Amino acid sequence: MNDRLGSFFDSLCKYLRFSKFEVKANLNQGDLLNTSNLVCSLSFDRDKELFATAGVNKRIKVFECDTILNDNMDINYPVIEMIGKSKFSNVCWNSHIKNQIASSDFEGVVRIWDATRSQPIMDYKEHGKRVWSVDFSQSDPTKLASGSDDCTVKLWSINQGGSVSTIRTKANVCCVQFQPDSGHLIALGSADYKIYCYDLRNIKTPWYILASHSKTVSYVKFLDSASLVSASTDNTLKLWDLATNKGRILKNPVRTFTGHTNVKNFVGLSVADGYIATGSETNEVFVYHKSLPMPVASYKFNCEDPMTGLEMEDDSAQFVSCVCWRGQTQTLVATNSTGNIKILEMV
Amino acid sequence: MEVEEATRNDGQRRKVLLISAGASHTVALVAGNLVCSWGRGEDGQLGHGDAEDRPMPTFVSALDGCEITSVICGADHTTAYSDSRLVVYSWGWGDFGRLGHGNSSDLFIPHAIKTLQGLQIKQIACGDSHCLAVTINGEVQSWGRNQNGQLGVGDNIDHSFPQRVKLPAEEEVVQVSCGWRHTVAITGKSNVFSWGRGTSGQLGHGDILDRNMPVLIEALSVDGSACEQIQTSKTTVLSGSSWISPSERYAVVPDETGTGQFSAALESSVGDASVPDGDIKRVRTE
Repeated sequence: MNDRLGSFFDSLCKYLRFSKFEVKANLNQGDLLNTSNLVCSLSFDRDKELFATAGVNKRIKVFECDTILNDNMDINYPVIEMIGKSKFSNVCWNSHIKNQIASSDFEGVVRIWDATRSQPIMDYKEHGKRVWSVDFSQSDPTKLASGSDDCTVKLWSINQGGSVSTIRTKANVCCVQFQPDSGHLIALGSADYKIYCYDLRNIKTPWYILASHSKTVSYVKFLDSASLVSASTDNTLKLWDLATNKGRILKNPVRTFTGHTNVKNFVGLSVADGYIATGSETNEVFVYHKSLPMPVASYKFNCEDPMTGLEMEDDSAQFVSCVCWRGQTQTLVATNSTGNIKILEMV
Repeated sequence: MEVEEATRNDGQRRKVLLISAGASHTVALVAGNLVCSWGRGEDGQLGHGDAEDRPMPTFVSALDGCEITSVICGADHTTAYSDSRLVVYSWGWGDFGRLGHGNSSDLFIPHAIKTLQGLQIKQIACGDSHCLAVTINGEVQSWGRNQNGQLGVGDNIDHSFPQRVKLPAEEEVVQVSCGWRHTVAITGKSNVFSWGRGTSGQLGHGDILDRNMPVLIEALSVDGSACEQIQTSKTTVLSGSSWISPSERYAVVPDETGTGQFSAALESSVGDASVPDGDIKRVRTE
């Protein structure tokens, strides 16, 4: 009883510790005349010094986080810019090899870049349709996985040109993530509303099927090796415990988080130190703590006209498109559909 | 005939008379009634007798001496015909009977379509997986995939032999054009008919229904009721927004009415209402 009370107390403390966000930096992308700067993906590099943004303007822009926080300029220029052939849906840095970053695009190509030379190293072109998500394994830096509208997840190695294996599912795969500790467990979110976990040593049947969402699962992120958070266009996030459940099919998540709005778009999901950040179609960022279903804090992007920087009438079409914690800190990078990027600090 | 045999490989550049492109291959008709093809060869669409891609134009030697006068590509198959010999050839991916030989076998070498032999063909058009042939007399025959009624023969069954397409009042067709899964035809009387898949409104009838028989496009036809009332889109080059917000276009999470195909197997199924992105039956696995 003491243990449970103790851990509840700890969770409550974590929940109550923070209540709002402060804006530490505001990036206006330099190319203001570009009609669409929607950023689909944000990713911090191995050392959490650089973050990459990528999206519909077909560019991966890498920024130096501390420089932006310290310098406070009006327009920030990226230190590295990589130009691709198609709109990017996702980028992910290699967690061991400092300058290596993988991207996935709307044409179905998965590409590995050398960021220092801004050059592609490798192209994987097996997916027949748009790839929504790409993830490097944190424990085996030579492995990466991609999930696509062609209903497959493909496993790749940076050492070979063809896929290592393919998991075929029955619906669009919107997200993939390796379990942090192992190179062989992978989770994917599907348009059939379920999350599938596969052991890559036996891809014939899923290791786990998590079924509780009532719409497509747009994101999955592991909180730690035994628990993962899923996001869906059913307006909820759900927390799942894989440790205590021996069964194959889980229908009951540990917790369902509500407060944000998500019925249509990819709005972003990022987890760090028990805090779960998500975007919202109300042009807000929401943060939950894993222990309680209501939000810890939220932040509303002001609706700035991307051309003039002046406040606009509330444009209900704007939404927060991506969020990313800086490692295990309280610094959160968030972008909205106009391409405005803010660095926030949870306080 | 002696022209082809003697001068084919003499290094002389030959004039290209006609070209046609499929989804991932291209075919050209070259002076001397020679046919060259290049591109993806996995389904036999190049006609060289193997499944290899060809990155350079390569003569289709099986058609040497056949007096080919026209070549037309479908997405993954090819047709060719000879005005003088009155023969239509087809080869490539055979699914749904698109080659017109009475089966669904892929062909890696051109074969004559027996039931069209002797007919004087004015034009052949190919869609993704269906074909139409228009004769000198304005009669139309169609074959191949028919799931959306794109053959125009009154049913939704694939036909692997050419079938006669009957237009209202037996009008003579002057030209046909095939989309991915629909067909449009103009007649000598200046009427326009369309049939096949209609889910994006591509048939021009004001609805999103498929049709499996030729239906008059009222707005464009001489016999149609709305001929003088074609609407306009009311935008000019100078007028305002051509902007659609990102929330409608990008970063939209797919659901079961969108690009999902999760109820059906990867093979096409009757009543398939989704996915204009093509069948992914053939994914190279190596």
